[in-house]
Order: sequence, then structure tokens, then C-alpha cells
Amino acid sequence: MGLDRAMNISFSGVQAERIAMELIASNLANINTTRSLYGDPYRRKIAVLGERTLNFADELSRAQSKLSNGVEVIDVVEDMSPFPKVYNPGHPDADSQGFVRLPNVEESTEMVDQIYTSRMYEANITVFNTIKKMKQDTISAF
Amino acid sequence: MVNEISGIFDPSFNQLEQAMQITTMKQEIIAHNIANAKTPGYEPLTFDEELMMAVQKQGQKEVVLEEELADLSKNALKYSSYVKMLSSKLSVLRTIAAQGKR
Repeated sequence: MGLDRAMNISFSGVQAERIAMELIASNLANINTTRSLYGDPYRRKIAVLGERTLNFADELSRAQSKLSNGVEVIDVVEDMSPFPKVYNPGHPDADSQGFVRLPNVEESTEMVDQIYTSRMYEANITVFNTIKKMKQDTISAF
Repeated sequence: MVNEISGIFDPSFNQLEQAMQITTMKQEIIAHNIANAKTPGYEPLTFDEELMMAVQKQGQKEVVLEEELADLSKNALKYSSYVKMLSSKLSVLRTIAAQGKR
């Protein structure tokens, strides 16, 4: 049924925004991490969203109706911008000149992203609730 | 199915059914647009019926959240009015059937 598909689509949006929010949380939590798994400072992670593709049957109906199936996180990429350096010779991760490389995470950018992501999450839930109400109306009308 | 007993069910039943299908499809499109609001390079889909609006919107390469949410509410209201109409039509038939029983 069409309304079910609409619900799935908005749910996919909720899921994708949640993953984006997890990455923002990870970025903010690691804002001072100077030593990640591979030795470098922590690199800012970004979720790349794309139109979701599902199995063959869904793809077929998608091609027929020119519709798609929502959204998904297609990739998580690392921000390759350079690490800022601060002079702190006492730090265990300081180089020979006394500079420490810090993660390329900007607190303000993350906060803005966080608000945007949370608004998008809300918008998807609004769609979900509207469609839910349409279904309830249909059920209670007869 | 409805066509076979067209003596009782007038064409507006079919029209209401179609209208409900169309609003459902529109909701799907809006849900998809909102879900993909952050997708890079995504162009919002528009419904054929709103061709005039689509012409105006041409060149718009990103999802306008407020517009989509307004369309969503409009569509939901349309849908529930169709459901109401259908249900009142059915209740007329129900009355007729109940009266005929006597």
C-alpha cells in the first residue's frame, strides 16, 4: 500500500539523520583526541546521504513509478582538511618543535550541523505522523 | 469491482478512489523529498498534476522544507476529506439497505 511505502520512506530519513547525529556526537566527543587508532589526531567524520536503493522488486516498481525508496547513509567520509597546530611542548604528542596537532573538528560547525540534523529528524517524524494519522482516519471512517 | 454493480455505486465512488490513490502517491513523493533534503545533488520530485508549479520551480535544485511540509498537511487534509465523503456515501447506502429490509 502506498501509505506504507510513504511511512518506510520517512522512516529511512529518520534512520539516516540518526546516523548523521551519531557522527556529530563522535566528532564532538573526540574534539581533543590527539592520538587516534592510526597515530594521527582524530579526523572529523561526515555522513554522505544518498537516495536509497533496495532489492530488485523495489527497483522495478521504482523504475515503473519513477519513485524512489527514501534515503540512506551511503558513505562515511573523513574530513581531509589539515590539522590545526598549537604550541604545547609539554604534551606527549608534541613534535620536535613542540607543536601538537589537534583534530580538525570545529565546535561551532558541529553545533550548527547538530541543529540542522535534529530539524531534519523532526521533519521526517512529522511526515511519519501525518501519514499515520491518514491511516487511522481511513480505519476509523468505515 | 465497483463497476460491476454500477446501479448502486455512482461514478463518484471511482473518482473518490482515484483521488485517494493520487493523494497517497503525492504523500510518498513528499516523504521522499523530505527524506532526501540533505542528499547532495538531489532534485526534488514534483507531481505531474502540479506541472504549472513545477515550471515555476524550475531551476530549484534543493528541497524547501517548509514548502514540502505545507504540501504534506494540505494533502493529508484532502485525503481525510475524501475518506469522509466516501464514508458518508456508504452510510447513505447503508441506510437504504436497512430500510429495504423492512
